[in-house]
Amino acid sequence: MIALHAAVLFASYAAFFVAVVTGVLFLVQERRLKRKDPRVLQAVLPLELLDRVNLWSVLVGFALFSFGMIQGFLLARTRWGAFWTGDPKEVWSLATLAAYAAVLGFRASVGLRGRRIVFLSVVSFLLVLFTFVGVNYFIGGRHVFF
Amino acid sequence: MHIGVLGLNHRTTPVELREQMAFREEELPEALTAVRRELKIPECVILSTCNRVELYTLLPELNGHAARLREFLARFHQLDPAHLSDRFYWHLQPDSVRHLFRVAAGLESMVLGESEILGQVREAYAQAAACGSVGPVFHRLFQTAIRTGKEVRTKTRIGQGATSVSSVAVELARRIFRDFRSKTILTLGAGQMGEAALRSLQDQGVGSVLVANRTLAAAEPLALAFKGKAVPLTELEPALIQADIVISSTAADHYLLTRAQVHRIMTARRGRPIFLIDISVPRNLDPKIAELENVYLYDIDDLEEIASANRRRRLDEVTSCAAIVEDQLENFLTRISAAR
Repeated sequence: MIALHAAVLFASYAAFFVAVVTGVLFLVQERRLKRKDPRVLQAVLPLELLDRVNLWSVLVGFALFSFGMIQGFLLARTRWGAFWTGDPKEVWSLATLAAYAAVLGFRASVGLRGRRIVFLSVVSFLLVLFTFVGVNYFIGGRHVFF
Repeated sequence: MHIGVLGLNHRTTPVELREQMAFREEELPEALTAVRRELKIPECVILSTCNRVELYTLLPELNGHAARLREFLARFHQLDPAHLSDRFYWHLQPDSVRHLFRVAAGLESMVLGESEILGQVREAYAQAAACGSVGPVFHRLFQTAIRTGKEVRTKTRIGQGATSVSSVAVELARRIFRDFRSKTILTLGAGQMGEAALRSLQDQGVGSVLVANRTLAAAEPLALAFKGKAVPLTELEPALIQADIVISSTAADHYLLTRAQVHRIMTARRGRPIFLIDISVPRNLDPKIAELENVYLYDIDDLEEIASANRRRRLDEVTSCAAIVEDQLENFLTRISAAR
C-alpha cells in the first residue's frame, strides 16, 4: 500500500514535469512570436500543441496527485490514527493541489488561455519540488523516505 | 570531347523572350533528336524551365558549334537570330560543368538555393535519357550534378528559411497552429495580394475559407474559387470569432479593426489564438491590436523583414556552396579524363 502511494505520487510528479517542459517551450515561443523575433521559425512544435500537452499533463498529474493523497489519508488513518495529522508533507501537498486546481479552474471557468495560465502551471512546479524534497530537507516530519 | 553549354536565363533575357524560347515537354524529343542529327553530336540534354533554357552538348571537336546551336534555337522557335545574339552565354569545359553544378545547387536561381531547380535538372536528364541522347559522359555529368545539388542543400543552409512574404506567413502559421484542416481563414478584401497569400495557406490544407469584402459581389468569385463563403462586412464580427487566420489586403485608407473590437472578439473566442496578417498599405489593422493576449499581428514590413533576413542568411552560405561545387568539379574532371 505504501509502495503504491509513493509510485502514484512519483507518476504525478513526472506528469507535472512534462507540463513544465512544454510550458517553458510555450512561453519562449510565444514571446518570440509576439516580439517578431525571427528565431520563432526555429521552433519545431506549434504553440497549439504545446498548450494542449501542457493542459493534459496538468490534468493527468492532478488526477494522480489527488489519488495519491487520498491513499495517503487512508494510510495515515491506519498508521498514525487520523486522516489528517498536520504533517508538513500533508500541508504542502494540499497547497500544491490547490495551485494546480487553480490552473485547471481558471482554464475551465474563465476560459483563460495562453501565456498567463501556462506560466502558472510552470511556477506551480516549485510547490511540487518543495513538497517532494524541500519538506524533507528543510522541515522534516513523519514522511521519512519522501 | 568537350562539354559545352549554350543558354539564357532570367539575368540575360526578359520573361517575354524566355517564354518564346522555352521548350514544351512534348517538343523535347523532337528537339533533342534534331540537335544531335544536325550538329552531329553524340550527347545532348535540354534544360528548359521558366527561368532558363540551356542546351548541354558533348562536342567531338570545337568547330563553330556555338553559332550553329544559336541558329538552331532561333529556327526551332521561329525567331530572328539577330534578335537573340547577345542574350546567350556559351561555356566550355570546365566552366560548362561548373555552370551545371551551380544551377543544380540553386546558386544560379532567382531565389537563391531554391530546390525546385534540382527536380527540373533531374527531369531534364531523365527525358533526354528516355530519348537516347544521353551517353556515358552525360550520365556521369548529370548524376554528379544531382549529387552536388543534394550535397549543397544538406551540408549548408542555402535552402533554409522562407524568403517571400507569403511563405513567411505560412511558416509563422505553422508555429502557431497544429492541425490546419480544422482551421478557418478569413480574408478581408478580394484583391490580388490577398489571393496569393490565401493560396499559399490553402496549399497547406486549411479547412474552410471566408471572404469578406465591402461589396459582396466582388467577394463571391474569390470565395467560389477557394470553395469558401462570402460574408458581408456587416457580419464581420461573427466571421472573426470563427476564423483562426485573418489576411487583410483591402485598399481602405483607415483601420478596419480596432483594439476594442478585437478585444471583444477575443472574449467571445475564449482566448482561442488568432493570427492576423496585414499586408495592406496603408495598414488596415490597428497596430495596438498586437497588445492583446493570444493575438499575433504581423504587417507586411514584419513579414518582409524576416524574409529578407533569410535571404541574407542564404547569401552567407554561397562561399561554402561554391567550395562543394569546386570539389565535385575537380572529381568529375579527373574521372572523365581517366575514363578516356
